[in-house]
Amino acid sequence: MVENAAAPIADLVVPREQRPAYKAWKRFSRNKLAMLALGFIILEIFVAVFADVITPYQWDKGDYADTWQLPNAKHWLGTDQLGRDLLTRLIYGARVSISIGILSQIIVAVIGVPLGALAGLIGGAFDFVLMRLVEILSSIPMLFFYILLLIALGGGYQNILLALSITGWMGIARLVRGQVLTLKATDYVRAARAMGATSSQILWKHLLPNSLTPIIVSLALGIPGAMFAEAGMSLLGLGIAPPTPSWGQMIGQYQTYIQTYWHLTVFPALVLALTMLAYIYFGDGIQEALDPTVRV
Amino acid sequence: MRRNRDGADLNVPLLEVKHLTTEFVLMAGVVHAVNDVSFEVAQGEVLGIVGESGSGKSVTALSLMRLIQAPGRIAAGEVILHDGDSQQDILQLTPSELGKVRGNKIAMVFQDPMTSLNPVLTAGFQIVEPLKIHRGMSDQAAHKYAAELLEQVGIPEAKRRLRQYPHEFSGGMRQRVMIAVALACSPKLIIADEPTTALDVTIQAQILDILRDLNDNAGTSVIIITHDLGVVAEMANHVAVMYAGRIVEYGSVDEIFTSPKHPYTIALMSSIPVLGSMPDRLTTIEGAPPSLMGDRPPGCPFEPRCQARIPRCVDEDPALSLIAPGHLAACWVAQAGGR
Repeated sequence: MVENAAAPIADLVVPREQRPAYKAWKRFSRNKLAMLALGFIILEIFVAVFADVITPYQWDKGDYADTWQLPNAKHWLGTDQLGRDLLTRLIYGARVSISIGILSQIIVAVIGVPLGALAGLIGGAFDFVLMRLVEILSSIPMLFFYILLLIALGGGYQNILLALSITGWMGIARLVRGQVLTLKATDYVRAARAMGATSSQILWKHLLPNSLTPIIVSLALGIPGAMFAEAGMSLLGLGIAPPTPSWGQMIGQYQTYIQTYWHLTVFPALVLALTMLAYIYFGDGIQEALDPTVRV
Repeated sequence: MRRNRDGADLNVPLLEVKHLTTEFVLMAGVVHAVNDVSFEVAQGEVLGIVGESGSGKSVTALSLMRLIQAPGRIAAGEVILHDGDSQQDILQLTPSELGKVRGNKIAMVFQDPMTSLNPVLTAGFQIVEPLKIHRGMSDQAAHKYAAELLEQVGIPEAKRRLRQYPHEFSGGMRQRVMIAVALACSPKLIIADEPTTALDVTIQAQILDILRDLNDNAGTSVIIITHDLGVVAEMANHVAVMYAGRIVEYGSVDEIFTSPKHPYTIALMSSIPVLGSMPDRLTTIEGAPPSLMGDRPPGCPFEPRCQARIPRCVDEDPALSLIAPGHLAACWVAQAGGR
């Protein structure tokens, strides 16, 4: 057997078209709206990553000869009171929104999934204390909590992430705990135990893989929520500090001029709304694609 | 001298269950699901445990493997597993020792093949896993052996089937996969908890054939738990009849079917419809089994439904005792030599 150890195991390899991921992609790709949303998201990420190359202007340097421009050929979305190009600022704002949306959900998953899984698996005092903590924290109004925290620690990128992580893990911890409790009672987990599997083997091979669908869906739908929260904080002046652009902060700053220079408020709001819509449709698409009851 | 159907010796003990008592502690009270149950399984023996729903058959099976979960607990008893000259009490093992018994020396086949396989793992993975855990086999060796196992349980195109997910198998095929999983480590004992109940009749016969072949060829002992007397008649060497969490009659399959002594067993036998004669109504046992919650009232638990009861049955509970060589019954009337 030793000489074969490195050889690929042909019998173990599931043909591509039988793999669950392939089937899920098949289902997802049939959903036009979700595909459109995915295209929009990818385009946006691409633009945000290569902002330095793409944008013709600098986000922080204004052209004082070109202040208060309405959308025109030179400045596609116009300029603001300092002559800064609005499109450029929107593109750089996308960096903040997208990275906060995705990073916050990664942190939320890293905290929430293990805590929820442990609570469901161990139960007892750990479960009781954790769930009471979750209930108490959940009962605090979110906005109130964000405002207090950001006033205490000051605004800025890291503190927004902190605020979103502190509040975000509870939902997913609850979700995972519920999944683990349900799956723990299934026949195949009992069968695995009867075959001598240990608790950690059961957790990794049976409980978590079967909880993956709700976890992925919850995270995908958590991204627009986090983006919106960031926009809200920045709009209130508690988030990203100027001159770094963020969509929410731009809406907040420019709203004073909405009667005369509508474009300064409308375009950031439109981009924010479209992005959120795209992530929601994307999340819905994923949910549908991962639902095993839908046949390909 | 106990012998199996082929006349082979059944005197090498494999599993001894002594005074097993399992209860469920609920808010409303304690449910005594299994009450002081004792029996033995020899090497190569097939023991059938029969009884109606709620009689404690499945809880007994789960207790043997210590698979009872809260609020249930095993309150008393011993489950001695013999392995060569050494023996161990399963109820006293540490979790890691227990992990070496489960799936390795004793394996279990569950009732519902539709839910007993993990839907997100391939059939192959689920057969290979115990081989890697218990036998330390390499992926490749385990996989080769898994294909052999699938062929052994009658699944054609085993190599292709290994790569398939449970939803790609029919119910009967899934139960074969479950049996292949149970067989993986060549256990000494297979506990089959209603293995054919969820399957249609033709598939039932095939599944029973697999278990019987296994018993004949590999000498694997089988405890088969069922409410189907036909399955017992076809499979078992010995039969334990359970009622209200206790064994009420035990004997060889011939004894139990030709001369049952406990009124409950007699009633069970007479409630089997006979092919050809079609009475207006099927024979039933009047009444319902007693609640197992709280303290047991004095007297025989079957007394309220019993056709043969005598005054003594109301106040005194008969213990399971020998009424003929190799034949035990918990009944005052049977112990007094019958009516």
